[in-house]
Amino acid sequence: MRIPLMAAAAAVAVRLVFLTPVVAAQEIPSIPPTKESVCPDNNPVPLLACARERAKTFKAPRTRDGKPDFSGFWGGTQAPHENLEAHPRTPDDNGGPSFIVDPADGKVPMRAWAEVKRRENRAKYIDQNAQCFQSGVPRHLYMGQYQWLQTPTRLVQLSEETNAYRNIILDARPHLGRDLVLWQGDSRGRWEGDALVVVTKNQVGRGWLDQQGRFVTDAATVTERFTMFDPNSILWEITIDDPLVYTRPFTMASALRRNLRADFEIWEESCYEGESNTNSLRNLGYRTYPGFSAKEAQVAKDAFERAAAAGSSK
Amino acid sequence: MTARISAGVAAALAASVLASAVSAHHSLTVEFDINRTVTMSGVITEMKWTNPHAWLYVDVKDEKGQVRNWAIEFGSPNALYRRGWRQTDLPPRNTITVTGYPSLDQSLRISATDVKLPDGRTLFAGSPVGGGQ
Repeated sequence: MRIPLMAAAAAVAVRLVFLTPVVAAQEIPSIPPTKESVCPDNNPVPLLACARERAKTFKAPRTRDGKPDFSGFWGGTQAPHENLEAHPRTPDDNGGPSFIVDPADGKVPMRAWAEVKRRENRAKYIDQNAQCFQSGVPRHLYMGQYQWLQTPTRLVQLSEETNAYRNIILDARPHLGRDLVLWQGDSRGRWEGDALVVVTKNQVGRGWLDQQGRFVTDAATVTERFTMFDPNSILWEITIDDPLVYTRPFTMASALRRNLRADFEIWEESCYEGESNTNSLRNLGYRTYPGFSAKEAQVAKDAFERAAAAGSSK
Repeated sequence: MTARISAGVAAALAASVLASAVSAHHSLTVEFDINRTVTMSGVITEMKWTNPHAWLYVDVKDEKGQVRNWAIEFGSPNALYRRGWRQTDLPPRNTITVTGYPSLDQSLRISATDVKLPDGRTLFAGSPVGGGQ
């Protein structure tokens, strides 16, 4: 009798060992739960109108100093990293509507020379995201899980991706100045009613805005407006101003949703430890994107426009 | 005895590939040939839980009988863990059939679109739309 019992016990043990992940897989949802918003998260134009209307009457939770309280866990609702503009579902992309709400045509208002540069970026260089560099502003909030910590003088946005953080300073001090450029830039925030307006300057100019090679220089100014429009949703509006690259400032919009999973926590993502895509991409001839400064942009723009003028006069 | 891959893990695997697609670090087309697919069967040798992506390694015999170790890309360890995965969930010595896009640089890497167990269960349903790595 002992042998069959042991065999049965072993069989049960094996079942327990290999069924444990099954139970876990069923109990843990694939996406941390969020409450449905009355505003459509997946289309920026109707989202913007709906969220602005809701924000007029919504009373945000308050911190001890009476400001809207953005503390907590948040996540993005779109995937603009593929392409800021509307794009179809393909083997390469999930697809989706344009992230851009202004201009109304949903197109990125790139200067002609910058569009040539964008194509060159895409053909020659590795997206900084693939190499585990920090994503910069606004790209670091496109996807993933975040924890925001708020004090009267700081809003700290912690990201899992590449262990990035952004320290938004709220005490009205000036920007650092152009002597120090940073992958995440220097962010300064101020309150306009219940909206937090954040201006970021001094980015390093080595980041792309999406996988299509759209870029900003180190002279770019990014202005964001965070407005809570229900207890678990933030309207996130982003205006990019980089006049050498874009013919006019353009604005994008999205929603951030509160992660309501009990006992949720964010973890490190030691992105470099197993990063192997770079080797493969280098084998294909791609190189690390060196960035493009405002000075280089001025030279490229002038050269392009001189060539265009010479061509048109012939 | 060889540990088996359970049905529940198969379901979690399917979700994990979607997670990889959503959080793709860069465009799939720069690294993989999405105009053709390859299918191969082999034996799992190792699952590495590394950032930014976990990798499954599979021994596959080529047409000359030579065994070559192929690498298949998964989601990040954090994403796998949140979906209920644990490091023992794809044990070595299990047989697996993989279909996917081959690497453009001819290295032994695949962006998987479909993976099947010997009993026909599908681990990955459909193309990893939106990326891979």
